[in-house]
Amino acid sequence: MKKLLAILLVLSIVFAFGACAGKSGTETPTDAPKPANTATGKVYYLNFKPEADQAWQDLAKTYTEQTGVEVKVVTAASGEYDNTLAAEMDKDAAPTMFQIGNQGAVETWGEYALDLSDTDFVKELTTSDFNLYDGDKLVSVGYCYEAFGIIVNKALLEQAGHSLDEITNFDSLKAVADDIHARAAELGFDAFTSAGLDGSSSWRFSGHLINMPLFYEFRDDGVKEQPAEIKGTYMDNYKAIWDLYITDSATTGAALASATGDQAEAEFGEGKAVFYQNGTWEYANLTDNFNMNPEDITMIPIYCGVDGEEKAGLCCGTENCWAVNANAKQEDIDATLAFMTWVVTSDEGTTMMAEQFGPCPFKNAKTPENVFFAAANDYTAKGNYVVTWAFNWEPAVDDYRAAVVDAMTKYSAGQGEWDEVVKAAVDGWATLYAKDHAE
Amino acid sequence: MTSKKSLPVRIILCAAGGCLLLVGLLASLNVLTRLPFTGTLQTWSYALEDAGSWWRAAIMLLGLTMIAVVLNNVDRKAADGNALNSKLVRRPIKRMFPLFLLPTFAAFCIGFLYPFVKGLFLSFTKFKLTRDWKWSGFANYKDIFTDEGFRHAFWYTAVFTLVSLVVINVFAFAVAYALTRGIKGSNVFRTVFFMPNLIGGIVLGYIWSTIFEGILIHFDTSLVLESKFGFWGLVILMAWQQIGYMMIIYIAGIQSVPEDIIEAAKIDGASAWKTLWHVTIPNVMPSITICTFLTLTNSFKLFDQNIALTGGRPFDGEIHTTEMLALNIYRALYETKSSRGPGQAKAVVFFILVAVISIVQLSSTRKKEVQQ
Repeated sequence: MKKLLAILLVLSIVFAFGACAGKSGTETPTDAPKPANTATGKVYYLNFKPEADQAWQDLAKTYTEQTGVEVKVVTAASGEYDNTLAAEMDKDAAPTMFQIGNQGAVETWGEYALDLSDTDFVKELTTSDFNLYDGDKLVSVGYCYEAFGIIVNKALLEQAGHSLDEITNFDSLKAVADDIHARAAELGFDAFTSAGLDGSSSWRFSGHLINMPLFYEFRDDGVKEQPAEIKGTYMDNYKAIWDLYITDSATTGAALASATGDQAEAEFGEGKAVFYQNGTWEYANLTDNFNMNPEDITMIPIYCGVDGEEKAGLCCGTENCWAVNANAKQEDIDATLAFMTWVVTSDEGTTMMAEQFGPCPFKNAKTPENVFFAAANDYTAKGNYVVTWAFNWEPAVDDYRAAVVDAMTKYSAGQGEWDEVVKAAVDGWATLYAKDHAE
Repeated sequence: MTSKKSLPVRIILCAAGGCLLLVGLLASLNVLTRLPFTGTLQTWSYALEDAGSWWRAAIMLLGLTMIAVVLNNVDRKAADGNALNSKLVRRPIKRMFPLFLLPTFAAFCIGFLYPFVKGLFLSFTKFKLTRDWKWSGFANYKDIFTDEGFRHAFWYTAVFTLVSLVVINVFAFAVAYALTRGIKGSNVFRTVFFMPNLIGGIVLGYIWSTIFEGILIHFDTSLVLESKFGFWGLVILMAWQQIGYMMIIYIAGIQSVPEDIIEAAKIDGASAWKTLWHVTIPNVMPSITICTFLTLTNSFKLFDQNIALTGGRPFDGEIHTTEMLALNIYRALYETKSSRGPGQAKAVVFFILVAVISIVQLSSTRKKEVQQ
């Protein structure tokens, strides 16, 4: 009996050792047995867009098959990029390639980014408009650009007896939407999809919709870099368009608090609503998953009642910018730059980029099928002004947006005043900016 | 193994172990390369900091083991009369002790001791990446005590802990008491009550948030609109999850109350209530100690359920009204982009709080335990 016990104890120790070794092995991938070609370096890309994860994984696999270079792609959960990046950068095997997508991120991560100015990769660029700089240092390179606005189901709009030409500013948009909403029961569809404030949907408003008041304020005041505080000049316009979203829709009031992004997408995809605020990245989902006819959908600018908005175009910009980790091993940096160049020059890479990200500012980029970009180009061709992405200057992005969303949730449920939203947006900006810049 | 070694040898071994430990630690904290070394020493310190974390861990462990071996070999008889003082028994134990001790010791060092030391160190610095710190003294600690959100989180956590401590233990004891009366199907009930405990916190948080939202929507409101919903929602969630677990502990306690005492009480004419109050409860005090300790620490450290259920919403300006301490710390680590130091300082304060509260609780309930 005692012998048996002794044997069991010894076995348990052996297992404990095994467990320890096994567990820690996964924690520090650097120490795992390396493939034979260690000298070639490895690529570790911390991807920012969950919806493009599969495409990146496939592309990485193709690259590894062709060149033998190991490419690891990890995708951060939606809204968790900053936290994930902070945790990953601390590891021995930190990402060699990551995103620095806005001014706030430049301030946090800029010092860890390689100056890309003299690299071969940059020579592939057709424009430097989407790049981010820290002084003279080229911190990150915009690898695609996107546009957002109000996606319209033209077929349903016509069914309701309206046409796109009617909509040229906020008042005409409101008139059409009000009419459709009033006849929703009879038509079988409503004007706007649910303006859900669940985390999976709220970024459309705390990030994208709020761009409208920010853009116009910065344009008026000639703001060219992230300001320490904002005035909220156009917050009433923000309220106007938000009120429209939450009135002329099937989902209203407290139900918005838990309405998700999938819900809104499905409502639009299944033809239950005419208008859906989102961006060019939705194209593949709508045409593939919901089998929408590309000819039936287009994108119009977000109108919010600002003078002269008849000449507005879509909101174009990007948060998708690649940076390279300056602290990575030289061979890993080289491998990463080679991979980046391959992505924007090779057939496989450019095809994937065009499918997933739309138009890319590279010499070899393919033209995407996406009709939303055609709409964006049409507006520009007509001489309309491009609404740039002013929201990229939001300080402490996640916290700023969380506070705005919280206030909007209370307001929409009828349990808070609009002033709270203004406070969260305007005072919150100043507070968080000060925190970010505390020395 | 080294019991015959002389005192100087022991001292030298001990000192060498200490040096190894110190060097490993300094390298891991990235302090080594900042010391004013020159020449070979400097090269070595850079090499050590660049080497994989395994090397540094191994050096520290080696140092610790050396100290442990030397200290263990100070040959003295155990004062306890019951101890095995025969050399025949003691010697093999002494010889083999590292084999038995090392795995757990290593796990303890890797999982607790080292992160704790590093965390403590970082709480006195300004840092974005842990290897890239700047010494800042007590500035972080000064910051957090003026932080309204942190103070609110502290009181909120305290109130929540108190409420859930009472709710969980009263219900768990009641259920345990009912299920030891010999009703039919006790085992089925025990299994069913225990099951919620097998689901992870994040999942539970999301499941319950769906349930609560589904109910609240009928009253045209939502979990994230009023903080009282968030509070009671969290209490319900935790009670649902923890009652089953505590119930098992109480059942074991109640079953071990000697039959003869209960019988004696019955013969003496004690009512069921009196038997419960004066016989059963004093006899299950050890279970009560354990259960209060577990619920107290669990509630105080609660994180998953908190972030999944409300995420701290609704907000009241700077204050996140349903945010508990752990969530506040998590947010502080990522919110301030210029430094994660204040978050680290909060974590240290949090550790001290939890430790003090649980020690006080343990010693106070222990006093009420009776010897059978």
